[in-house]
Amino acid sequence: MKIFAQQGFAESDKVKLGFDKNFIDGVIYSPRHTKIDVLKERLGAYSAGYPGKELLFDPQFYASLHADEADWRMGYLDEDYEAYFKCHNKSTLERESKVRECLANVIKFQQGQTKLTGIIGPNILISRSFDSREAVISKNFIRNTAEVAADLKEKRPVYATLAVSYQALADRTAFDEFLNEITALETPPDGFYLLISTNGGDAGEFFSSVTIANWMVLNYSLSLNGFKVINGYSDILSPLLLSAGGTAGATGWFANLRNFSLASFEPPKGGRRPLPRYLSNALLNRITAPELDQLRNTVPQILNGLSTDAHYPIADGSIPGETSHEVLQTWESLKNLNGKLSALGMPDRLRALLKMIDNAATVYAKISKTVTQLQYGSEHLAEMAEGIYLFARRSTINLEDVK
Amino acid sequence: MTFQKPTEELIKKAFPEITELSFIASGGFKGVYKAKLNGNLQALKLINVPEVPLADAESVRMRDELIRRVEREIEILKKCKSECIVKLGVLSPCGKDIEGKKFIAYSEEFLEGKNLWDLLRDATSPKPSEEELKTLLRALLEAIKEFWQYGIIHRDIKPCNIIKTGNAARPFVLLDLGIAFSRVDTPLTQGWTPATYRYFAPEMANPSFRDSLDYRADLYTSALTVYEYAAKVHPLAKDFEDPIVTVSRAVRVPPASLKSVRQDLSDDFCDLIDKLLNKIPALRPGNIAMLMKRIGG
Repeated sequence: MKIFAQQGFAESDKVKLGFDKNFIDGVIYSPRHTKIDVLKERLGAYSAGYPGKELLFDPQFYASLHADEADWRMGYLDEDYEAYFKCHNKSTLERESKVRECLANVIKFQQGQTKLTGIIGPNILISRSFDSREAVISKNFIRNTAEVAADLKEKRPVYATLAVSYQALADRTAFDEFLNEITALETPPDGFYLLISTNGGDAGEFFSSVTIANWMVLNYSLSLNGFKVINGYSDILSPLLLSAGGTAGATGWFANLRNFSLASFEPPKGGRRPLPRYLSNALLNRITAPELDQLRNTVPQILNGLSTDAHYPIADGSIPGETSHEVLQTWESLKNLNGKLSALGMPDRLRALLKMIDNAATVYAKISKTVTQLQYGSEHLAEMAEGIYLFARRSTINLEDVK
Repeated sequence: MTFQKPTEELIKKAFPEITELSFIASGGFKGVYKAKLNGNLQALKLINVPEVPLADAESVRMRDELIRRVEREIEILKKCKSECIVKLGVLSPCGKDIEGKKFIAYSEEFLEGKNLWDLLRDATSPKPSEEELKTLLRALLEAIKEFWQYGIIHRDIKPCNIIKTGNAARPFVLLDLGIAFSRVDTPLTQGWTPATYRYFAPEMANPSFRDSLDYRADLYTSALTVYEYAAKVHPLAKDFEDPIVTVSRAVRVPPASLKSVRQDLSDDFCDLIDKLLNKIPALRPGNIAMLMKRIGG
């Protein structure tokens, strides 16, 4: 059960510190936010300094359908990654030859980055339905990823990208058919890089039970069929996804690195910098630093008791002093949660998660007796629990028999 | 569809090379005999090709489909090398007129032993051990893997199509590709689904199954067979019930865990069989190499 850094704008020393502390097992680079010479330098340094860590690169090809839209922010993709990043439209991508050409360009680019430990193929986002033109294009990318990589003599693990909106996941029949197809490929990749898109914004931080269940089903089905599954932008849902069979989850330091949305490429809408937050494992959620400050003495269960608690000093009103502190706290907390689950087998992991959710409800009940009004309440708990039950039903995993 | 059984004398007259002959079973248009052909013990297969009026296009189509199915079965068996799949015998396919009726005849090797249906219905026969069940599953996986190399789905894996030979080198052998489905050839049937409803993969109930059917349907029916052989009870079907009810259960009702009927089997093995019985192909473990490894193959 691995946690990766979802890299983005303003990396500075965050990933390095995550590696130093052994909170993370790898990093997924975002070319949009990384000049190519910086990418090369970082990959070189991490490869030399942290052997065994996974170094991956999300080509962010899904943004190429919007590359010519006015005011969309493509960052360095346009300038430094023109070897593969061009504006495309769905009509041209309906041709399999074009799909293979795009795959070859993306894979060749990553072959030039010899320190990467695996290759992530390109794909577009299925924005509405698995029964759509986008889904046909997406399947073509997935079907051809391993073939093109093999043609290019690539030896590192190859991951096909599956990027899909939470709305598309909700159509169960179309979803099942799509899943049936991608788990029976003639030339399968080594794994999948899964991206589940939200509408963006804070509301996307927690999803509905149906989305959680289907995301878990994806992890379960793919892992059951021998694929490695890397969940991009999975943040606090990572323990659930990894419990369902996923290999890794990823999260980063800004809200737009904690859930995936093309909205982050759109023109900025303004807004103020969010308050620093603390990921409380007992709540399975974040609270703001001022909320932590108000509650840490009256409801001490909200503290994880981990080394990064020290980054939220009482003397400073529980406000972290460094920009890296918040994400280090997130990574350490997720690693700790995963550690509690990784030794357990499949149904027991789910039962343990349900117990954590029950405990979280108890802690929320204690908070409700204090004067502190949390910005976000406990609504996510019911969605998580229902998501786990839905997933178990679909996967015929019996949660009732306790051995 | 019934096999119009010729007398043994007439068969022997049509095939002078036969010295011994005894009827084994029939199903659909096909009859199977134990026969000694030029000194070789064989399973002689006779397929009754019905006379149909040429003006009746539907009957002509059905007859042609029957012929094509026999041809396909023979083509597949010629390709397959696995010891877990029955092999063609000494009699090459040929047409014969017996008592004015048309037959296609060919032979397969004769396999000594009993089929699993007879064994599981025999109250005196002990329930098989986990090791035997794993051996059975390994044999079926090996066969499925070989079929799938050629884009073939057996579609009729069930206890009565599996012979327990008593031969350690090939303990279980799978028979009868009569309703095999090919992903690469033109579909042979339209509008109906050839199947044994007691052993029906849920995805076969989807009207557009021909677009998406794959070897995981065979994984499902293998698990169903292993379950029934292990427990001596079918996880979904009941005897003498309407086939529609059986199919409906196959599509909708989750089977009870194998563990609930065979507590002595390991959790891991029961879990594997249960997972292979998932209604959704993508939620079955479909990587055959991984499956083999899991059961020690």
